[in-house]
Amino acid sequence: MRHTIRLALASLLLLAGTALGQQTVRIAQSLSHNTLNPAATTGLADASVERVIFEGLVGLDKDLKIVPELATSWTISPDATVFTFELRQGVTFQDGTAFNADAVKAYFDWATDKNNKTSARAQSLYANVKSIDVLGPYEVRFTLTAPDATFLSNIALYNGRILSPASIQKYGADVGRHPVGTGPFKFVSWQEGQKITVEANDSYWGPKPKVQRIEFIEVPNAATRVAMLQSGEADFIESLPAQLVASVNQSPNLEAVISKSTYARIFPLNTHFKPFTDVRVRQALNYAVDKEQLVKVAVQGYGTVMDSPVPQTVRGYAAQTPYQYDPEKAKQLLAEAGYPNGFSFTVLTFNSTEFKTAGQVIQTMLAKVGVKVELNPTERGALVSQIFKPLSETQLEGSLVGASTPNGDADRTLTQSFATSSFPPAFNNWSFYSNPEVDKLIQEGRSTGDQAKRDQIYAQAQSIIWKDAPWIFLYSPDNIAGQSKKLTGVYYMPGQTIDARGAAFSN
Amino acid sequence: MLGYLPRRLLQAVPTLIGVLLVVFFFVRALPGDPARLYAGPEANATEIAQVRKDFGLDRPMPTQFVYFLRNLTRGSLGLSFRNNQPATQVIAGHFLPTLWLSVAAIAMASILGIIAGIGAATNRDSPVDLGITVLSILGISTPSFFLGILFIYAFAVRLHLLPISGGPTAAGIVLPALTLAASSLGTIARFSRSSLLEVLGEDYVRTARAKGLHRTRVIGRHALRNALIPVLTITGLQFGFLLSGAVIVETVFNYPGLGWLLIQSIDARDYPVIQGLMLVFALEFLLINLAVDLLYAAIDPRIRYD
Repeated sequence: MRHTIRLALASLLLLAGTALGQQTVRIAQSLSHNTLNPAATTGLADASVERVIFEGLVGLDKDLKIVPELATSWTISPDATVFTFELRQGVTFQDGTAFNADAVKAYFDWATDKNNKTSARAQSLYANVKSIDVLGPYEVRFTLTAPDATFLSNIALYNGRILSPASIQKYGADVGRHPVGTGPFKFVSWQEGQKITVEANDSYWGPKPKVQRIEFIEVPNAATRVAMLQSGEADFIESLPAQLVASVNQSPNLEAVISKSTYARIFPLNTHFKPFTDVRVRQALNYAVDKEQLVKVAVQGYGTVMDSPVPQTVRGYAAQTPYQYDPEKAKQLLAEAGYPNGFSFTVLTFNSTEFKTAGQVIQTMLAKVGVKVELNPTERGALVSQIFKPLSETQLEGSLVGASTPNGDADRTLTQSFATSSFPPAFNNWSFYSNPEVDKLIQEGRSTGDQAKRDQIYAQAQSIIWKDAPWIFLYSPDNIAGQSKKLTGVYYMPGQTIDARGAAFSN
Repeated sequence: MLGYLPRRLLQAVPTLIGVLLVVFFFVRALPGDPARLYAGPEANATEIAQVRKDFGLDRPMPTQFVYFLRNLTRGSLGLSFRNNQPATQVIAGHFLPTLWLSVAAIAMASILGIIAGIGAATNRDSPVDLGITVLSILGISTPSFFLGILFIYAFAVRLHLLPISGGPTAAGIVLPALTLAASSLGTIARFSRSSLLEVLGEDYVRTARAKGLHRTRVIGRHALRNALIPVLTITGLQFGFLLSGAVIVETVFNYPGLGWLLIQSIDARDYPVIQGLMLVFALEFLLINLAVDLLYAAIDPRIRYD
């Protein structure tokens, strides 16, 4: 009898548990966790965890629009050198420290301090901050050394999220293991190489979290991530490979979620090496590649053919006239440039499935116009050391690689890939493209506070680069995530971080 | 015996110093810049220079080596580039999961392997022998990533019996251990079979039989003890390999062991952790070989160390 009662009680408890619903969201990430110190963060997995713990003055929404977070409003001087923020009142950090202008100053002073050994990223990203002045308890002013309209986009990035000044005092260089912010979830534990757990912050100033806990699990292997989703061990997985979309959609409780990204697959041609010194050759290669077909084969159709050097999701993107697939025209251009029988060259690429497949497709297409490509798939570390060699040392003729625009601003895309000052090893101008006109436009865009004017300037720059064709412009791959249909409010952002602040389960 | 152990341990010292030298310069000879990899594709040259300085890689190589040795004498391997934690602590955190996994796998492999070997040897050329042989070869030759995926699909995705990952918990260890055991199991079964067959042809076994001893006693008491010596060697070696982290199995099952750590560290060119791992692996093999030698003496009284 007693046994029966116990059993009944147990099943009641079980029922109650089910009625309360699932309270822990489990998110499987492809990259490993390194630090939860925003000033040091360079990894997307870390940035995704930080998204729920911390907030910045401003942030980026899922369409990369700049939105208020800890600042309620801001003004930018017409020359884009002085940025003044009005701060939200009544906000406290998770350790009870009050959030105010002093906290903002304390964080940025610490993060940009040249002697700080755990903030290399913030030091470089905010190198142009001359001074931070507290104008009142809830008003703070950033003055830059030179005009920079992208400053707002840069503090909207994950490195601009603000740590509790008390936690910096207390933990110093180890603050990345003891993160304290103002966000809707607070840090609970970090199991090295396994997962980071956060729990709801009940004193959050904004909309209350709808789940008790979130676990961010490290799962580097894509097939394992999918299996965990299917077995119910994960509710959300990122970086779902295109070939596995169908197998996720097959199960009735799961769905693949597809969205546009800030990433691009690019094919820089070394514009200082023959025959790529001739713009006709570079254009010819653009006509010779059938990008629609390429997207179908390399990413199962989950991608957008590029119609500008800048991906469509980025602020300041302007569409250009596509290089329609036209092998005859390509041959004609090659003949005009003095290569009627084509030529051959070597291409460096990653040894991952997508890049190798794309490389083989392009190889076949270029062969049809007489251009022989030798593919050289290489491990990431080795590739990186080759691709960043200066012009005087490099032997690179072409490469098939990726580019991204983390802050969602066209200035970033154009500067890193096309400015003369960005020749490797300084930055990512892998085609060693140099056009004084483009350099001037980039500078102009950065010194203009007015976004409409900036858009015009960037449209001009994009049009010049498009015609100069320093790359074979390929495609922007979609971001693909997989999730349980019960889960809502978790977004896979264009920059491939995850925003799980609004995570909830529906029944 | 008492002189033997310290002598063997002392002999290990030059080996370890050799390992240190090779490892230190070898990881630095790998193409790839840790600072560039840490900072990621979004970093400019200033940031990379800063990271290089933070990592201490701006110093000349000989200076770095001196720092490395000095740290070692203090029991430190330096800070991991990847997460700024002491490398010793990072490695220790991944060592226990691998140890449990290896112990579980080697226990399954040796117990089942020896039983299968005895079964095959005593039923030589029968269907039982054939079946065991075929299964052993399958176990050895099925790639672990494939076997792992099969197990995941069957036991986790379809039947919901066991979790795919979850680290070193009782339930979480079953599938990876089984996958890991498969190839060792096959090897051990094959070895026990042939070793036992050889011994069964020896004169003293015939004598034991002629004495009228029961078959189980002949095999268990007389034949097996001698037959087990080569099996023990191979088991020790297999254990050594398992302890170095089963890279593929740990990746497929998302198991946070040393193999998993090795992959992550090589990807990031995390020199302090790679160096530490190599040292640990070298040390493991030295100790396991020593343990196997000592076990010989325990099994075969004719073997003596002095």
